[in-house]
Amino acid sequence: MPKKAMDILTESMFYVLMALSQGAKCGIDIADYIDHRTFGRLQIGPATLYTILGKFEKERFIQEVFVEGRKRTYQITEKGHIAYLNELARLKQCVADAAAAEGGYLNG
Amino acid sequence: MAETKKKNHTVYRLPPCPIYDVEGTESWLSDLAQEGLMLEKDGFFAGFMSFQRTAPRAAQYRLEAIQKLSGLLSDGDETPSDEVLELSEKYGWEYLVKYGDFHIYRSFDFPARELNTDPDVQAMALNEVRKRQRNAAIWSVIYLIILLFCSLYQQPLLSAIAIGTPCVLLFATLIIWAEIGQLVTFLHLHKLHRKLKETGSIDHKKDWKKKAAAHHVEKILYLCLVILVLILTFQACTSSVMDEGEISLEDYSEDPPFVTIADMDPTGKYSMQELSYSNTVKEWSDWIAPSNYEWHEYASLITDDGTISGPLSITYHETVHPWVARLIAREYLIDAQKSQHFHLMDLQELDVDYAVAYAPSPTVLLQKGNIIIRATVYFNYEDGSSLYQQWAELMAQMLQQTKPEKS
Repeated sequence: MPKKAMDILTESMFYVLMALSQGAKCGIDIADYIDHRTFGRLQIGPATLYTILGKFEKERFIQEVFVEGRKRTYQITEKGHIAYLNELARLKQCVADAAAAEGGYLNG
Repeated sequence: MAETKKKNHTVYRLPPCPIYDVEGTESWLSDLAQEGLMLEKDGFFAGFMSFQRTAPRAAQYRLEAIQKLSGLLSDGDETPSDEVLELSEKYGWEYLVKYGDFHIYRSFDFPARELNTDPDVQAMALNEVRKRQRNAAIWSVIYLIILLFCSLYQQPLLSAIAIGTPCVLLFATLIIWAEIGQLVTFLHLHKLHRKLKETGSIDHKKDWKKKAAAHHVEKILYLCLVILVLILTFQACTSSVMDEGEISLEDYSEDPPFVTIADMDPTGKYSMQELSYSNTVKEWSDWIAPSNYEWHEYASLITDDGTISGPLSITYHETVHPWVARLIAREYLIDAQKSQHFHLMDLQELDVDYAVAYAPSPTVLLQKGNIIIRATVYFNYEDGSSLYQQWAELMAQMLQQTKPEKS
């Protein structure tokens, strides 16, 4: 069990960081990116998205870069990028472990 | 349930569950939509919700926890930012109103993309509300403790006797009620947070009717209590300002249960000074002190030993129990000690439970059984010799004759 909420990122959080690691975006663009990237598999709700953005900004994973009309644009920080890469490594390890387990099962 | 119709078909309803009952409120609003009552934009004021009467239609409502601390989601006035509104509208959700720590959204689209798609993140948002409630509860308890602590160094019993013990008790009940309310809110949010973490969802079709009657009764009781406290406080204030119950000594024919200037020498020639505003008496009753007097006398008395002249102020309480009288004596003394020139004065041994005399104003404090009396004895002989000791002795004798309850 993680002691802090941000020790392990949820899927939604991971995709938000992924979206921002591809460049600065506003909330609507982040939602569109996730829809597009996952082919609609992961649908992120507005409340979820803006709670994540609020939490990330508080944790300094992202920062607001400019406001244009109704849109606020955010970019990922170094701390956020490290968190994203750490989570990516963890997920890769999970997949590698699963593949090894699957291989062992098949071989057995 | 209260219902009022207006020309524009606006209907007002009292929510059947507390604000923090997210599941109950969402379910209730959705049920009302099925009856043709649609929550109006900004339709929440003074505990009531306003609805537009339309054709019955299925609608889903969602309560979203406000993230006050981030400053990201709002434009400073706790309403959702334009960007949040735009994205919500894109997925079929209309923002309606701020409701306590929540924003209410509505959607007529089925299925609409949920506002919350990640239960962990929703739990995180709810946790912010829970933390705010916890902090508010902690601060109010700290404030209450400080208040209680300070009141011990003020005059809680004397204030209760002056304002009225029922009013003070009702006010204390209100405070305790509010404290318990905050605790219940915190526990409910904690339960909801845990449910989200464990099951990953909340119930959007909760049976809100089960506890609706109890909630309404609680609200009505609380409102009655608030009104009662306001009325009693108003009465106490007006009574104090208008000097209600205070009468001139010239019109007072009773024999007070304490020593007055005339009692210093019953054979002397007594004459009241023509200062009617300072020759008054007030009698009143209270739960913890059934008999109370405020006595202000300004008189002269010609005796064989000389002329006594000056004012006498007495506060007399006959309490329900000797320990109440002793506590009141303590309150009087603590209050007197706040004076920069406070010092104890000599006082002979008296047959009472507690006796003390102090300056700057020559004041005698006597307690015997359930009677406590404080007298500021300004009057003296022409040569300036003080008479507080004689007054105290006579008063002690009178108390002995009244045979108050033993302490």
